[in-house]
Amino acid sequence: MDFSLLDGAVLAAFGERAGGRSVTLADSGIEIDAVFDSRPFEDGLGVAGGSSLSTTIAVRIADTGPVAAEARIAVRGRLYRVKDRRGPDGAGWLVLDLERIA
Amino acid sequence: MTHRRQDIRAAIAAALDALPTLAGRVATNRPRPTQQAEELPCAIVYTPREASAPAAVKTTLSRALTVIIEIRAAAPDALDDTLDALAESVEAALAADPGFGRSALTSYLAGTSLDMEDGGEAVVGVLSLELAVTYHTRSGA
Repeated sequence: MDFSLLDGAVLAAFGERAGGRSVTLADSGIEIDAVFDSRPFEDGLGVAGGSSLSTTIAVRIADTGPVAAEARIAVRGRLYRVKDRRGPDGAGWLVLDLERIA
Repeated sequence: MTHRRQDIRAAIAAALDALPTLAGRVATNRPRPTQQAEELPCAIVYTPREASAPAAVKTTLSRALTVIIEIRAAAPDALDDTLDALAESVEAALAADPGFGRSALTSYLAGTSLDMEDGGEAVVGVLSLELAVTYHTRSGA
Protein backbone atom coordinates (compact mmCIF):
# COMPACT_ATOMS: atom_id res chain seq x y z
CA MET A 1 0.00 0.00 0.00
CA ASP A 2 1.28 3.44 -0.87
CA PHE A 3 0.70 5.55 2.23
CA SER A 4 1.97 8.64 0.44
CA LEU A 5 -1.43 8.72 -1.22
CA LEU A 6 -2.70 9.96 2.13
CA ASP A 7 -0.39 12.99 2.20
CA GLY A 8 -2.82 15.24 0.46
CA ALA A 9 -5.59 14.22 2.81
CA VAL A 10 -3.35 14.84 5.82
CA LEU A 11 -2.52 18.35 4.64
CA ALA A 12 -6.13 18.99 3.71
CA ALA A 13 -7.18 18.05 7.22
CA PHE A 14 -4.32 19.33 9.36
CA GLY A 15 -2.33 21.74 7.23
CA GLU A 16 -2.13 25.41 8.03
CA ARG A 17 -3.90 26.32 4.80
CA ALA A 18 -6.85 24.22 5.87
CA GLY A 19 -7.10 26.49 8.90
CA GLY A 20 -6.89 29.61 6.78
CA ARG A 21 -3.31 30.32 7.88
CA SER A 22 -0.05 30.52 5.99
CA VAL A 23 3.51 29.34 6.41
CA THR A 24 6.22 31.34 4.72
CA LEU A 25 9.89 30.62 4.13
CA ALA A 26 10.85 34.08 5.27
CA ASP A 27 14.16 34.28 3.43
CA SER A 28 12.59 33.61 0.02
CA GLY A 29 9.03 34.69 0.64
CA ILE A 30 7.75 31.36 -0.66
CA GLU A 31 4.53 30.20 0.90
CA ILE A 32 4.22 26.52 1.76
CA ASP A 33 1.77 24.28 3.54
CA ALA A 34 2.73 22.48 6.73
CA VAL A 35 1.33 20.72 9.74
CA PHE A 36 2.08 22.86 12.78
CA ASP A 37 2.57 21.37 16.22
CA SER A 38 3.46 23.12 19.47
CA ARG A 39 3.40 21.21 22.71
CA PRO A 40 4.44 21.86 26.32
CA PHE A 41 8.10 21.33 27.13
CA GLU A 42 9.76 21.24 30.57
CA ASP A 43 13.46 21.97 30.58
CA GLY A 44 14.35 20.42 33.94
CA LEU A 45 17.04 22.99 34.63
CA GLY A 46 17.69 24.10 38.17
CA VAL A 47 15.52 23.27 41.17
CA ALA A 48 12.07 23.96 39.76
CA GLY A 49 12.71 23.76 36.03
CA GLY A 50 11.11 25.84 33.36
CA SER A 51 8.10 25.45 31.15
CA SER A 52 8.02 26.40 27.51
CA LEU A 53 6.95 25.01 24.15
CA SER A 54 8.47 22.62 21.67
CA THR A 55 7.38 23.65 18.21
CA THR A 56 7.68 21.80 14.91
CA ILE A 57 6.25 21.89 11.44
CA ALA A 58 5.99 18.90 9.15
CA VAL A 59 6.33 19.55 5.44
CA ARG A 60 6.46 17.43 2.29
CA ILE A 61 9.88 17.74 0.79
CA ALA A 62 8.27 17.46 -2.63
CA ASP A 63 6.56 20.79 -1.87
CA THR A 64 9.43 22.62 -0.24
CA GLY A 65 12.61 21.14 -1.66
CA PRO A 66 15.60 21.10 0.67
CA VAL A 67 15.11 23.48 3.59
CA ALA A 68 18.30 25.27 4.55
CA ALA A 69 19.74 24.93 8.01
CA GLU A 70 18.72 27.97 10.07
CA ALA A 71 16.12 28.95 7.47
CA ARG A 72 13.62 31.44 8.89
CA ILE A 73 9.98 30.50 8.89
CA ALA A 74 6.99 32.72 9.61
CA VAL A 75 3.96 30.94 10.99
CA ARG A 76 1.06 31.95 13.21
CA GLY A 77 2.35 35.48 13.56
CA ARG A 78 5.75 34.46 14.86
CA LEU A 79 9.16 34.16 13.33
CA TYR A 80 11.18 31.00 13.86
CA ARG A 81 14.53 29.63 12.82
CA VAL A 82 15.03 26.00 11.84
CA LYS A 83 17.25 24.48 14.48
CA ASP A 84 17.03 20.86 13.38
CA ARG A 85 15.75 18.93 10.37
CA ARG A 86 14.52 15.40 10.81
CA GLY A 87 13.93 13.37 7.70
CA PRO A 88 12.80 13.09 5.08
CA ASP A 89 11.14 9.90 6.19
CA GLY A 90 10.11 7.11 3.83
CA ALA A 91 6.99 9.01 2.84
CA GLY A 92 8.85 12.22 2.02
CA TRP A 93 7.94 14.18 5.13
CA LEU A 94 10.44 16.45 6.78
CA VAL A 95 9.98 17.57 10.38
CA LEU A 96 11.53 20.91 11.22
CA ASP A 97 12.29 21.76 14.85
CA LEU A 98 11.80 25.47 15.29
CA GLU A 99 13.50 28.02 17.48
CA ARG A 100 11.47 31.15 18.13
CA ILE A 101 13.36 34.32 17.31
CA ALA A 102 10.56 36.91 17.27
CA MET B 1 10.04 37.04 64.55
CA THR B 2 11.46 35.42 61.44
CA HIS B 3 14.19 32.84 61.12
CA ARG B 4 17.51 34.32 60.11
CA ARG B 5 17.50 32.26 56.91
CA GLN B 6 14.34 34.03 55.89
CA ASP B 7 15.97 37.37 56.62
CA ILE B 8 18.98 36.43 54.50
CA ARG B 9 16.85 35.25 51.57
CA ALA B 10 14.77 38.41 51.77
CA ALA B 11 17.86 40.63 51.87
CA ILE B 12 19.38 38.89 48.85
CA ALA B 13 16.09 39.06 46.96
CA ALA B 14 15.80 42.77 47.72
CA ALA B 15 19.34 43.41 46.49
CA LEU B 16 18.65 41.58 43.23
CA ASP B 17 15.25 43.19 42.79
CA ALA B 18 16.97 46.56 42.83
CA LEU B 19 18.84 45.65 39.65
CA PRO B 20 17.09 47.05 36.54
CA THR B 21 17.48 43.76 34.65
CA LEU B 22 15.79 41.72 37.39
CA ALA B 23 13.31 44.17 38.93
CA GLY B 24 10.07 42.36 39.68
CA ARG B 25 11.59 39.06 38.56
CA VAL B 26 13.10 37.72 41.78
CA ALA B 27 11.57 34.95 43.87
CA THR B 28 12.59 32.91 46.90
CA ASN B 29 12.29 29.12 47.25
CA ARG B 30 10.02 28.92 44.24
CA PRO B 31 8.81 25.34 43.65
CA ARG B 32 6.97 25.74 40.33
CA PRO B 33 8.51 26.05 36.87
CA THR B 34 9.14 29.42 35.30
CA GLN B 35 7.20 30.33 32.18
CA GLN B 36 9.61 31.09 29.41
CA ALA B 37 7.81 33.79 27.50
CA GLU B 38 6.55 35.84 30.40
CA GLU B 39 9.10 35.47 33.16
CA LEU B 40 12.64 35.33 31.81
CA PRO B 41 15.11 36.56 32.72
CA CYS B 42 14.59 35.95 36.40
CA ALA B 43 16.43 34.99 39.57
CA ILE B 44 15.37 32.54 42.24
CA VAL B 45 16.98 32.38 45.67
CA TYR B 46 17.13 29.04 47.47
CA THR B 47 18.62 28.02 50.81
CA PRO B 48 18.95 24.25 50.40
CA ARG B 49 21.57 23.38 53.02
CA GLU B 50 22.94 24.53 56.31
CA ALA B 51 25.52 23.06 58.65
CA SER B 52 25.88 24.23 62.19
CA ALA B 53 28.14 23.72 65.19
CA PRO B 54 28.61 25.24 68.64
CA ALA B 55 30.57 28.45 68.46
CA ALA B 56 33.30 29.49 70.86
CA VAL B 57 30.67 31.14 73.00
CA LYS B 58 28.69 28.21 74.39
CA THR B 59 25.29 29.78 74.01
CA THR B 60 25.90 30.56 70.34
CA LEU B 61 25.43 28.38 67.28
CA SER B 62 27.63 29.01 64.26
CA ARG B 63 25.79 28.32 61.03
CA ALA B 64 27.18 27.80 57.55
CA LEU B 65 24.36 28.39 55.12
CA THR B 66 24.47 27.53 51.42
CA VAL B 67 22.48 29.93 49.27
CA ILE B 68 21.84 29.11 45.63
CA ILE B 69 20.88 31.92 43.30
CA GLU B 70 19.56 30.64 39.99
CA ILE B 71 19.69 33.13 37.17
CA ARG B 72 17.48 31.95 34.31
CA ALA B 73 17.47 33.48 30.85
CA ALA B 74 16.62 32.66 27.26
CA ALA B 75 18.38 34.08 24.24
CA PRO B 76 18.57 32.99 20.61
CA ASP B 77 22.29 33.73 20.48
CA ALA B 78 25.14 34.13 22.96
CA LEU B 79 23.17 32.86 25.92
CA ASP B 80 26.34 32.38 27.94
CA ASP B 81 27.20 36.05 27.47
CA THR B 82 23.67 37.04 28.49
CA LEU B 83 23.91 34.98 31.66
CA ASP B 84 27.38 36.23 32.50
CA ALA B 85 26.23 39.83 32.12
CA LEU B 86 23.43 39.15 34.58
CA ALA B 87 25.84 37.34 36.91
CA GLU B 88 28.21 40.28 36.88
CA SER B 89 25.53 42.63 38.17
CA VAL B 90 24.28 40.08 40.70
CA GLU B 91 27.77 39.44 42.06
CA ALA B 92 28.41 43.16 42.37
CA ALA B 93 25.16 43.66 44.28
CA LEU B 94 26.01 40.83 46.67
CA ALA B 95 29.58 41.96 47.21
CA ALA B 96 28.37 45.44 48.11
CA ASP B 97 26.86 44.08 51.32
CA PRO B 98 28.25 40.63 52.22
CA GLY B 99 26.53 40.73 55.60
CA PHE B 100 23.08 41.44 54.11
CA GLY B 101 22.46 44.25 56.52
CA ARG B 102 23.20 42.68 59.88
CA SER B 103 21.77 39.28 59.02
CA ALA B 104 25.08 37.49 58.49
CA LEU B 105 28.68 37.76 59.56
CA THR B 106 30.04 37.29 56.09
CA SER B 107 29.43 35.68 52.74
CA TYR B 108 31.36 34.85 49.62
CA LEU B 109 30.79 33.33 46.20
CA ALA B 110 31.79 29.69 46.61
CA GLY B 111 31.06 28.45 43.11
CA THR B 112 29.22 28.90 39.83
CA SER B 113 27.74 26.37 37.45
CA LEU B 114 26.08 26.71 34.06
CA ASP B 115 23.51 24.49 32.42
CA MET B 116 21.67 24.94 29.13
CA GLU B 117 18.78 23.29 27.36
CA ASP B 118 17.70 23.74 23.76
CA GLY B 119 14.89 21.19 23.56
CA GLY B 120 12.19 23.84 23.54
CA GLU B 121 11.57 26.64 21.07
CA ALA B 122 14.18 28.79 22.83
CA VAL B 123 17.59 28.07 24.23
CA VAL B 124 17.31 28.42 27.99
CA GLY B 125 20.14 28.58 30.48
CA VAL B 126 20.55 28.58 34.21
CA LEU B 127 23.58 30.04 35.91
CA SER B 128 23.67 28.90 39.53
CA LEU B 129 25.67 30.98 41.96
CA GLU B 130 26.50 29.27 45.23
CA LEU B 131 27.03 31.56 48.18
CA ALA B 132 28.62 30.46 51.43
CA VAL B 133 27.05 32.48 54.23
CA THR B 134 28.13 32.44 57.86
CA TYR B 135 25.95 33.69 60.68
CA HIS B 136 25.51 33.10 64.37
CA THR B 137 22.40 32.66 66.43
CA ARG B 138 21.78 31.98 70.07
CA SER B 139 21.42 28.24 70.66
CA GLY B 140 17.80 27.30 70.22
CA ALA B 141 16.96 30.48 68.36
